[in-house]
Amino acid sequence: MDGGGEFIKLIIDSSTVLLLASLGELIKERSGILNLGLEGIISFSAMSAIAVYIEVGNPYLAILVAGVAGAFLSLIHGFISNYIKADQVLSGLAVLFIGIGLSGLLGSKYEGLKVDPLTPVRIVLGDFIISMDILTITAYILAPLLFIILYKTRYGLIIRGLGDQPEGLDYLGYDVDKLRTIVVVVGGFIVGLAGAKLTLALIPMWSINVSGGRGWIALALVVSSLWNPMLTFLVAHVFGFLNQFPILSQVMGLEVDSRLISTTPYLSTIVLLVIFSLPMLKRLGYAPRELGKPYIRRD
Amino acid sequence: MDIRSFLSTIVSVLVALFVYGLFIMYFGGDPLDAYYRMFRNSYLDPNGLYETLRLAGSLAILSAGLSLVFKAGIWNIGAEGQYIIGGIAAGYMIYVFNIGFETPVIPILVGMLVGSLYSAVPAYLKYKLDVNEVLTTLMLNYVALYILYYHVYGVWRDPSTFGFPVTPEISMGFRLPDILGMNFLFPLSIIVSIVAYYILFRSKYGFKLRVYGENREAAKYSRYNLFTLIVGSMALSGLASGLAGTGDFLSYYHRFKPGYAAGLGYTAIITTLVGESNPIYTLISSIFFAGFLYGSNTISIVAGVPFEGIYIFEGVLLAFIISRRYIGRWVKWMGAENS
Repeated sequence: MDGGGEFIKLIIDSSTVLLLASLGELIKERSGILNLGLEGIISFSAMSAIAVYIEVGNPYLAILVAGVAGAFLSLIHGFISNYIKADQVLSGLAVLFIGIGLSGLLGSKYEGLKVDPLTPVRIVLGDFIISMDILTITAYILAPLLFIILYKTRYGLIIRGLGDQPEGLDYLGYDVDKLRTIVVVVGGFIVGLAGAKLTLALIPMWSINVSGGRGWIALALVVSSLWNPMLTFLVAHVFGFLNQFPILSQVMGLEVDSRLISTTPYLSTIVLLVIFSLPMLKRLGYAPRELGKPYIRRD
Repeated sequence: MDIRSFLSTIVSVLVALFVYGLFIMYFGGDPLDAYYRMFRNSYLDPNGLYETLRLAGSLAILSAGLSLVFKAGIWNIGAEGQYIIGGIAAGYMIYVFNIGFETPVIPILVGMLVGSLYSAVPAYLKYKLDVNEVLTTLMLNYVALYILYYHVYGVWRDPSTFGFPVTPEISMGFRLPDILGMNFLFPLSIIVSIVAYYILFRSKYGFKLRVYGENREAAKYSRYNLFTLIVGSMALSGLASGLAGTGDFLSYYHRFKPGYAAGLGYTAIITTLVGESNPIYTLISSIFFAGFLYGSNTISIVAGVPFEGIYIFEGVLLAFIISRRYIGRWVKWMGAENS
């Protein structure tokens, strides 16, 4: 029974990392900016979180710093994408390399250090007692909140406009580049929280490979949730489970080599991308019209 | 490369060296001294030069392949995985299947073929269903890495080395010889670069690739066969990555170990972009980056700067390289804003 609870916690923790990363990327992409540097941002913010946690001991400060670290790297990406208007695939890769490099350099003295995971908050709902840490609660609130913001508020209309009809906003006098940069930085902060969740809860230690491709998986989740935060919530949980499948399969005593089974999250990500690219689903689907294209005013 | 882009490349390299230098100082080293030591160890020391040119060979072969797809605007980020899978396939021809006699030729050909297939799959998905090739090739890198671990830590592990997770050394007949005191891969990379240059800039196929990269609509109106462009160029790039992976295995490592790929497939992305996806320039940028890669080992030993630091250098350099083409536009935009 206790083992079952541990499994559920593991899957929830793993899902929340993906959820936070995908939600952060989702609003960036809704504003038209594609950030392929997610893996580097997660790595750098994960390192920042654990470094602050070890040095200062305050988990809330650690979470905040992780968010700021994510926002900082995203600002670089937002600047290159919006103001210099360079290719976003390549500026994303630049941020990826910078993020991995920064976390490797500044994190080297914490390599292999373990910390106590975040203490969960106990929520009593009648007969149920759910214990979740602050980042899980944040992620679970953020998904419906972003859904409401995107579809029911004026801000959401503007964010969606940035990705679908930037010229319309420009005619109305909005500064497209500035607004997109703001959205990118806010999204970067949320991605940073995914990093904090990773090293403060899921894998409470630092190593350079701690992210293990979660940034890339999160990018695929955004595509396959059709840029809808509530669908992201669902898909993130499927992949949170698949990400822990290598560990679960060992506990369940499956007779498959652990290294081969470690390929499941990556292979299933490809399968997911293929399914969501099938013409049948594509017709149903949605993608921000101007995704990945810098806004250049036509004179 | 005209004089302006040459100068801006030099400036970008200097800026990246400056930023990396700040981190060397953070670790208590002297950047100028560190760079001098790097240069001396990588290019002036005979052993260092051998290592540098070997790395340059692998990087240049990888970059020659990436040039073909990058020029076509197809982002194959999977060179790392294609390198590993190519090497492993060659390993099968040595460790598993007995072909009766010892030759490096058959493992190389098999390695190239499998590397090529490994990149043709995401290319076909892109051609057929428009699946994002960046994500699929990247996922396949992780898959390849675990397949490598499966062989190194598992089925091919050499029991006689006790603690070390390595595969047995291959016998002499399978190894690629040195040529004129250089690792086999460096002279080979010169040939590969010239061939890639010819394909890209002197052949009809290369012309179509470049048109497709510049203007997707124009390529469609001209009724180009997109299958041969997308899947073909990706397969060629995988072929090159497979060659590099097999070459490193047969000419240098002679066995597999967990650090066999060491991120060369990722660094090759940078060497290709710095060399403007022109295989002749990427050969030059590969020699530079190889010296930097090998030299950064010295920095990490002398100044205690972790090896991953090189990614800062690569990232900052990439940020400046991709920005320079647009800085003119940016300056114009600022002017328009002020007027």
